[in-house]
Amino acid sequence: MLAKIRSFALNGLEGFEVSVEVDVNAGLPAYEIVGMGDTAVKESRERVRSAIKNSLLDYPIRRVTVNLAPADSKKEGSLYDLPIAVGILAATEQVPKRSYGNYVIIGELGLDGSLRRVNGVLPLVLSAVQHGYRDFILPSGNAKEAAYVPGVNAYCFDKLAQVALFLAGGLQTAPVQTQVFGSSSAENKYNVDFSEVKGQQVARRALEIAVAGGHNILMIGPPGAGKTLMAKCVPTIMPDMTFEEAIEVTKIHSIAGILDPEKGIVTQRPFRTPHHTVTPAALMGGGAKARPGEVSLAHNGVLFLDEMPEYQRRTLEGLRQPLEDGVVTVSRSKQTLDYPADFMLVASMNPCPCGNYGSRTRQCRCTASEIHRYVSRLSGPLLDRIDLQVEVDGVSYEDLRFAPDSESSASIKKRVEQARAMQRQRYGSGLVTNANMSNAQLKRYCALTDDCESILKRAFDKLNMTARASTRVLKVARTIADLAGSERILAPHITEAVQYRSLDRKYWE
Amino acid sequence: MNNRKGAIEGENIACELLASRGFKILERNFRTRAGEIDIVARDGRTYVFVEVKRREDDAFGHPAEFVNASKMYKLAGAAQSWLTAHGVKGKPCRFDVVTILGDEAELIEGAFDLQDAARGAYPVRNRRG
Repeated sequence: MLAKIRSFALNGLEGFEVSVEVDVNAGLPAYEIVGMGDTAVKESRERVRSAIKNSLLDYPIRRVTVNLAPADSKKEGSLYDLPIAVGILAATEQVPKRSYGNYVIIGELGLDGSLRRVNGVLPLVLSAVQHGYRDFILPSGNAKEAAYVPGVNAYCFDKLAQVALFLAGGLQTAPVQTQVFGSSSAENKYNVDFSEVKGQQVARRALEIAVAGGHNILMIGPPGAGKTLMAKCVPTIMPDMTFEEAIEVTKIHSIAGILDPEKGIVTQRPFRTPHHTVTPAALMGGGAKARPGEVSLAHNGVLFLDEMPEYQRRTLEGLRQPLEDGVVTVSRSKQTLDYPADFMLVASMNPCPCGNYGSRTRQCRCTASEIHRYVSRLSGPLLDRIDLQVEVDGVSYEDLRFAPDSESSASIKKRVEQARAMQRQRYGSGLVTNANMSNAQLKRYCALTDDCESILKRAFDKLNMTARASTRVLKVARTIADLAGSERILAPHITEAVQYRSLDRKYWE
Repeated sequence: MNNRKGAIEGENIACELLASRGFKILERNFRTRAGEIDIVARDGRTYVFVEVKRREDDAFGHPAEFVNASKMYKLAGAAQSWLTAHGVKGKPCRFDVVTILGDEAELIEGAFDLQDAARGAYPVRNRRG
């Protein structure tokens, strides 16, 4: 007897249909599984066998042959346990023929017959829907994830026995209630807030501009000045994610296995802080299975590189492609995958090895050449991609202890959202920000008046700017104008934008 | 221990079953250095090598589960010798298993092939060792 169960597999973020064919034949008891499965697939034998027996169903004492078609592409993971088990039950007529025909079945089995959640269910379900399938049988642990896909009927169970009973028609159950995505601020609880940041007016302002225009930012300052705290606050002032953005993020997190099964969807913007010993593969994505790296996990959120010069040079240089394109291409010997990696880069560094260079309150002990060697670990091309650079100095005792609470994240976020609304209006389609406008758009939307033109020219000569740096200045000026609600870029806007570029000269000349 | 008696009894039951299916019994308990074949029979033009497995109950598993790879390998070796000894060439052959659980006898036709049997080969010695 032959049974064919429909399931899905993932290649990167894209799914493809897998037909799990189970043939139970006369012959000595044996279990053969073919179709390029990895170790987890091969080991399904023991789980399936015990799960069927411990669900008080019969495991056939016959020859079981399983084929995962298409036979020429790799299948990974434990998600075929349930389709194989259902296939065996169908082939031995323990569940009725054709009862399983409409379902896409995914799930891992425990030896006791329980269903375990698997990673990557959201992208799997999404691509199955694209292939025109609507009905799913899934482990309960994945219910929350599947519930966010509109128009699916996901039947979720805790045990194999329940699935068998359901297919036999002996168990009536409703599909999981579809969840409507609501990314309200009430759900987005962060444990930091900008109101806790004392003083630091310049840096706060710079971060607000960076978020408003989607710019990358570098904070330079002595240890303990509050760079890390401020970086952690960045997601709190970013606009709430749209449903599409949340789905993109959730897909990546689901594959990486870091999704919270209770929530099912990522509603907070990601904030990733890879340690400075991170390898290029861990940052960009890779490994034998070409997993998404930190840059992809930070998609639609913040990638925070603390103490940027401490990172390996080749690790940092790897950031150039995702910073430019918003995607990262992971090439492995057997496959090449594209993962989205559209993040905002927030970086921090000390100005010198001892950390006190340029401080108003402390003495620096470093020699000029030491400072130069330290800061030159950041290459010019990389710095060029960071639109804003800002100095963060230590906070005074009075500010720290007695200053009233500063402006809260919520009220900064309102201004950011207004500025983003202006950008949406200007560029039409939703995802373009000032930071990634094209040259044509730059020419059109960043036209300067004569006095602005002369300010920029003076800065260009004085600061010895590159062409790219001057474009960046224009883009930042555009964001500052948006924050001020101004249609045109005016003199104060361009002056402020130039300031965020002037550290180039102080440190990298 | 008196397993021999039980085995002969089991083989008698198996022979009856095979005969009732129209098999012609050619030989019983063919022994060589490679191994032993319980029953050699003929099903039409096909030579059939039959292994008989008997268990009182399935507390430790179904009798069919006790025909493991190394047993298959031995059967295959013995079958080769039988064919050579009897000058049979180019005729179809197969391996069957008769399982007897309590007094329930069952015939598994084409239970395994040489590929399955090859897995029971003695591990090849490491050339360096």
